[in-house]
Amino acid sequence: MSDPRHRSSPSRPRRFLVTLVACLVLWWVLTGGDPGGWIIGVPVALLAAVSVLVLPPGRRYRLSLGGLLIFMGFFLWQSFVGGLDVSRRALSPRMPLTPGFIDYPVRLPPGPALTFFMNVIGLLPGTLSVGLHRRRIRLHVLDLRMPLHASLSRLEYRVAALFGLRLEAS
Amino acid sequence: MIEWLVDLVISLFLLTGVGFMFVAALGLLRMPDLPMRLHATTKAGALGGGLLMIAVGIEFFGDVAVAAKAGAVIVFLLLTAPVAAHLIGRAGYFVGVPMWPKTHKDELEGRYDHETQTLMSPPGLADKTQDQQPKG
Amino acid sequence: MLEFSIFVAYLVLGISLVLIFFRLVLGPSLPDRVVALEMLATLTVGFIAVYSLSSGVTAFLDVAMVLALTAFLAAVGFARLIAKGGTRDDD
Repeated sequence: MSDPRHRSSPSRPRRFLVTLVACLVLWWVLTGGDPGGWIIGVPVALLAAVSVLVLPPGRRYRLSLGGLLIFMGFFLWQSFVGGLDVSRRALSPRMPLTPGFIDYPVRLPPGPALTFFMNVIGLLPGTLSVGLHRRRIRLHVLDLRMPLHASLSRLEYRVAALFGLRLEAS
Repeated sequence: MIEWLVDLVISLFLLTGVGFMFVAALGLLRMPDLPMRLHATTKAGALGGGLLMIAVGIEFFGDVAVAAKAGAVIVFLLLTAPVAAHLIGRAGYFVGVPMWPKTHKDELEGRYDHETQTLMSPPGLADKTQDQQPKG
Repeated sequence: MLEFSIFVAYLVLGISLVLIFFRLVLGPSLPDRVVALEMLATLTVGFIAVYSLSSGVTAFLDVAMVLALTAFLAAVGFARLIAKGGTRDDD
């Protein structure tokens, strides 16, 4: 019990149970409690839970619920701003665009947090990640005159906080 | 009165939602090159779909299954749209889809990617797609 | 009021469909068409949302849910095809 490697991530039976229950609840909600659906739902949920046992566990990370809620609020708002921004550009007759590619030196460690960061970039105003080269994210941006670096590093900081990580010194 | 108010809110979400859908489609047609079209469809499209599903969720608020489905659609849209955009944008960038002539390319352009071909996706996302690219 | 909004919504979605179709036909490259196809799927999700509001039939929401996921898979597949050396100029 005192083996530190064992305590570091949730044990397999526990992850199996959590996945099983989560899948069953999801199925129940989505089918509206239709009893006939369980014939398919239970085996599928079991399969999903078994796949957790078979697949290797990912890197460990911890999400805080409060942090998640705050981030979701931020994310939804930023998505809205991103939609408005691209609408403004698409609708205006002259289309104010100064597009270009930039490289952003990333400070997040490789893993789920980095993947998450690169995906969130895609919904923020005027940025789209097109690749990762070593420790640099290549972005396509709609307007190079925007304060891109500041908003990206703010976002990176928020993602790091959400995953309970520390940013490397750049 | 309450019913009227609910209708007003639903109408609001409905019209903003289709507004963003329209903008996404217009951007897709008007924007001069592939990445910019991706910007339009990802951001405006996902936002429009999300707003429409919020309208559905309000209309059928009493029915948990329907509201949950609407919520699931929103989550799926917001999760998948940026991933798909990243993969298509990356593929387009990789094979050298022509960019708008006014696109600013930094000095790194051409030194890294087309020589070494090490443009990568986030780990675990699409490791398999970074095979050798055909020349020309 | 809601009825009028729904009418407007159908109209706008219809126009959007035509715009997307133009991009799908014009191309010019395969990735452009893939983007148009994906947008088409998103638009279908939108159509389903408006239809559920206008008719009160919610059965199609299941379709919307699956569509939101499968369109993504299709885009991933296309991206792989393009990156693996599918034709860049397909016309």
